[in-house]
Amino acid sequence: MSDQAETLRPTRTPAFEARLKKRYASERRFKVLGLGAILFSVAVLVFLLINMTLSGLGGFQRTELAVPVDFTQAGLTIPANAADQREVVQALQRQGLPEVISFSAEQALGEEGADHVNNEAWRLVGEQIAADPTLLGQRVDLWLPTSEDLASAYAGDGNADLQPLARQLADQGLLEDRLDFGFMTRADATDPQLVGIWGALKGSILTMIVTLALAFPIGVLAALYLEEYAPKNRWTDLIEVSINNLAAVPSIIFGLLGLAVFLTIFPGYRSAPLIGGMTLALMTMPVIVIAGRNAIKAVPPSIRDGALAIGASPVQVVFHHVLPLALPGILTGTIIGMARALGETAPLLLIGMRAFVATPPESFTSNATVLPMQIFLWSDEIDRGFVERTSAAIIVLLVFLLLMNGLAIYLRNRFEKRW
Amino acid sequence: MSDSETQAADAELGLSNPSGKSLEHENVEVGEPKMRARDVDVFYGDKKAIDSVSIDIHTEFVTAFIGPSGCGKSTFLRALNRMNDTIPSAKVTGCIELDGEDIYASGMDVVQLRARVGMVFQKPNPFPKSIYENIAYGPKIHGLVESKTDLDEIVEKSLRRAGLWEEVKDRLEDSGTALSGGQQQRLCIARAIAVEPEVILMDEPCSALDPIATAKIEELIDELRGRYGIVIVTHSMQQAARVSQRTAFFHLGNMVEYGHTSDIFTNPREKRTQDYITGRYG
Amino acid sequence: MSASTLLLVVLGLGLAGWLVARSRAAMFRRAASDNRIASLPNYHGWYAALWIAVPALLFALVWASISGSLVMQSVLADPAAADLPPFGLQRETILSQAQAVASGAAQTVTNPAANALVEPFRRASNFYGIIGIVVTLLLAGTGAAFAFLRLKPDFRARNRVEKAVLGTLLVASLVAILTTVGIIASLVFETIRFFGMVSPIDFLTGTHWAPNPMTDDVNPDPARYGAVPLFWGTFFIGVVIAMIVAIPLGMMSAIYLNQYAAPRVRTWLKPALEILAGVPTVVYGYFAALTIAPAIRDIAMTLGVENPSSESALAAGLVMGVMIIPFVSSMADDSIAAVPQAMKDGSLALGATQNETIKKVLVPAALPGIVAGIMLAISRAIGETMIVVMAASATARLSANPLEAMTTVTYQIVANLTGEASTDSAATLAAFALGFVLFLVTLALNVVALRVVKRFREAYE
Ligand SMILES: Nc1ncnc2c1ncn2[C@@H]1O[C@H](COP(=O)(O)OP(=O)(O)OP(=O)(O)O)[C@@H](O)[C@H]1O
Ligand SMILES: [Mg+2]
Repeated sequence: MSDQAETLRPTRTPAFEARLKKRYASERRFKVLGLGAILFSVAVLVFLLINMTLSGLGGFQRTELAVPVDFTQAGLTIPANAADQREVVQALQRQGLPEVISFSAEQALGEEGADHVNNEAWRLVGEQIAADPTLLGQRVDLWLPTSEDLASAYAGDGNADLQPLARQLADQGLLEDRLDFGFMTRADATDPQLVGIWGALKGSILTMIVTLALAFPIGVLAALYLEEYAPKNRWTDLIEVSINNLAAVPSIIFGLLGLAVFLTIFPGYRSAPLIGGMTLALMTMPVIVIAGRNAIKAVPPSIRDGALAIGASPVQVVFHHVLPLALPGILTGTIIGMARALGETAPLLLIGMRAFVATPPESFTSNATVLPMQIFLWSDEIDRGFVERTSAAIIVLLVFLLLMNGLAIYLRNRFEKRW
Repeated sequence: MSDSETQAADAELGLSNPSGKSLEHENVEVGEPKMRARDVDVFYGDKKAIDSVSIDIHTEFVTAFIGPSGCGKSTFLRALNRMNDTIPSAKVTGCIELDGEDIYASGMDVVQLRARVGMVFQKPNPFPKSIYENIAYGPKIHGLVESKTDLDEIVEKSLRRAGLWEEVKDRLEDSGTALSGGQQQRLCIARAIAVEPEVILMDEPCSALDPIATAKIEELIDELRGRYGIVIVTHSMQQAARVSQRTAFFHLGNMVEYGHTSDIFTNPREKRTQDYITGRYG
Repeated sequence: MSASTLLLVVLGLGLAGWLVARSRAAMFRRAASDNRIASLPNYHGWYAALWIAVPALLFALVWASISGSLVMQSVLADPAAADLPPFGLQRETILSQAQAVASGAAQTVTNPAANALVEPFRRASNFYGIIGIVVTLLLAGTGAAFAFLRLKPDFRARNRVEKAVLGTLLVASLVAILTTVGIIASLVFETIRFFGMVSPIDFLTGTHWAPNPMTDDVNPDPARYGAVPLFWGTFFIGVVIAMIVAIPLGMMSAIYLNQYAAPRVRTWLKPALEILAGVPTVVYGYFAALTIAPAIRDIAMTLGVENPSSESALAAGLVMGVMIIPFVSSMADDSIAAVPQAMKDGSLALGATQNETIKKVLVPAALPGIVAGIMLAISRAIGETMIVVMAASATARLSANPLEAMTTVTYQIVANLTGEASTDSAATLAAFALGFVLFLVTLALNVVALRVVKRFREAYE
């Protein structure tokens, strides 16, 4: 053949084939590197989750002492005129409930052990009685929280002098870690044995309601305006740049805004969900606008033309045809934005939502804190008990976030590109 | 190879030429086919896009694939240098040989295969790099050059062969994407020949170009013939008639007819071919 | 009447107006000769409802935001307020306690001085509350009268209502500008006040940072407000350390996901990255402070480093880098995916291997998008607060040793705004000045990056 007479083509020389081996080796290395990079991220995620779960599970428990109490002999009564739980507990306190408890504890645990029943244990018992008055006519076996010192000793650190006592009580079956359902219903406290997450959770819920109520309508309407009606001019450009920039501005800047503007207008509402929600709404709104615009852009023009052709006004076209079709996409973006707001701490730190809030907030204007802030506050505490409680709070927060993100991913996959 | 052998090969492919007159190429000495495809099927998932196609590609002449849109020309072309590997759902069965080696055999190396069987696409796709780097890319990744002067030489030679040298020799550092469409396509051809392939597959190389640019490319194809086996997919009957010596007509995944270009256009055996070239459909 | 009752009443009036106007329009229709009126009854309803509710609600909103300070003014004018301490924390406590009791939020005051003020507070808030309610209701009534006077069979209610809707849309989109203006205004205002105490030159070029809210409240020592160590710490943690982690890992993740991973693998790995991106920063901060920082300290110790810090820049930077990985990866993924398949085919058809194609064609082609993504990532890293607040240190230090403690701009903003300083002290104002610098830098990064991304998208569309 004519070609063969020429020199061998460069792509068929042995040297080429030798180089080929090296190129394939580099290909393999590259691929392994890529896989390694992504597995690293996955490993960090798994490590984070496992780490939090392991140390957090302890946070849903607390160390408690078994104390049988015989209320039949105690002579406690619930006054008929007590209006609510708080008054019942106060009345019981006046009648000597704390002494009844400490006496029973001494009987059951000995003097030393009784010293380590939590100082506030009688209050928890009082609340139980308020919920179920028939207890007063019974002998009941109660499990009461220990002092933080004994809890540490039982966990194997803290005061070494207490460890023999803890071991002894545990051997007698009087001391153990028990599931603490109250963690989900109580609010912040100074004693890790008595803290709960409900206060912060409720604060988060109230804050998120404000955020959603402001950011969703404003975000959707702004997206509609920009995508459907905005003329092409300098103003529109300015709005666009503003929104895109706001979506990328550090969250702490919104805190400075909230501090300088909202707290100047409403000075009395420092650390109220209302102000927190407003601040987070400004941060969430651009996210919703951007997601909304993309969703609206994805609605094919043929649908608009069809509706216009049968005589619908531009407003009707948008609200009857475009918006419903774009809604899944908008919702996905909203959920993601809300999830970000739910996990946000920095701006709220600046507007003062870091108060110590011992009772769950009652309204949008009462003092409140939020879940991530509670985590931050607890993480600063040195007591051993708070470490576990912090991880438990993180688990609660992550569960909420995972649910929200999962919902968003589900919505996106479900409704993606139907046309 | 003797004439009678060629005829035997032709007969095997159903390429009958009873009169023995192979028109303008009577005096061309025909060797072993460069590529040989036998009973090739291509599937996209469960869908069969190519049904039992057999064809030979010779270095001595340009082969044109014609046929209505969607009949599988591109699909078959991409099977020839395994570009179909990049489509996850695509599957090729049957046998395609390059110089007698099965290109789908496990011993065949895709990288080397593609270096030997180059491809030019419908839309010019220069890399967003300088003109020089566009040409140098192939020789560099394959390590074909030792020194910068060698590389300069290859770049100049390839651009000259593609007929682009005079137009760009003063602006080699400009971006390849800054050229006109026709220049971009010639750049892509230059890029393909810079690695000295044995076969060049061209998928509608002129469909995005104006008549003058098209004429330049056709000229170029004619000059490259003999040195490279060339396959060109085209929608233009005139173009097929102008540049090719062999034509294959595809229809609905089948190769309906293959033969000397002049025969196909003046004297097709199949009714479907006749209908197509007279413009009755497609 | 509380704010929420008032809201309900106004909305109720609006609803009533809607119903009445609608049925009236239906009547018009029956009366009309050809059974047609200019606009559908629903639009008559909306027209009336809007006129009733919108002005009233707008007023109520404005009133709610100013009545607080009106009440405070009239209380301070009351003779009982004469005994108040002139300023400071105590004065604020007394006022807020009295207010809490007056509004019923608290039962008793702990500070007896507040008792005298309860009554003035109650009086003033009642007075202004009643004014607010009366004016709100008056506005609703006026709106109703106006609307009903104009509703006629030939009235084009639809056009009016649609105009109102469009107006609302416009206003909604203006909120974004308003927010930006609000940010700039508040930052600039406080920054100027700060620069009245400490010159911008000292602030931007000084290398000693040690604000002391106790001593330099009024006459701060400019030499203690040199922010360079903060800028350096921010840069070193957020740009150097974090990006050394995030850029290679993020890029390689994106390349693997985009070019190598089988579709099934991709559907699992991508959400994992998204979850990593969704982990709140306070959790990362906790992780950095509790797990990574001690680990780094221990490792440094075994390597023979003397006194390694437990608040090292390395811990904060590493964790921040991990936090940024998904961000870099998703931007790079988008950019690489935007490179046309033809480009990739062109390279593969020349016999390039996959990684040669990626390194020499895809990544260079996607480079503008990738660079823009990295700029956005940097903007996010230097603005990140919780990780540094929890894992970095309060000590301002100019050092290139990652094992040393360093502080950042965001750390100092939080520290100076949540400390004891009063709102007018130099330390507080310095926080705003730092915020302003942070805002300007991130703004520049964002605007340039977004523009590059946009141009890049257009190039391949
Ligand atoms: N990636 C793919 N996945 C699935 N089916 C495909 C794919 N590419 C092509 N096809 C189908 O295979 C058939 C042949 O397509 P092909 O692109 O080869 O046609 P063609 O002859 O090149 O057409 P044209 O002249 O329009 O370029 C068509 O029916 C097409 O729909
Ligand atoms: Mg084709």
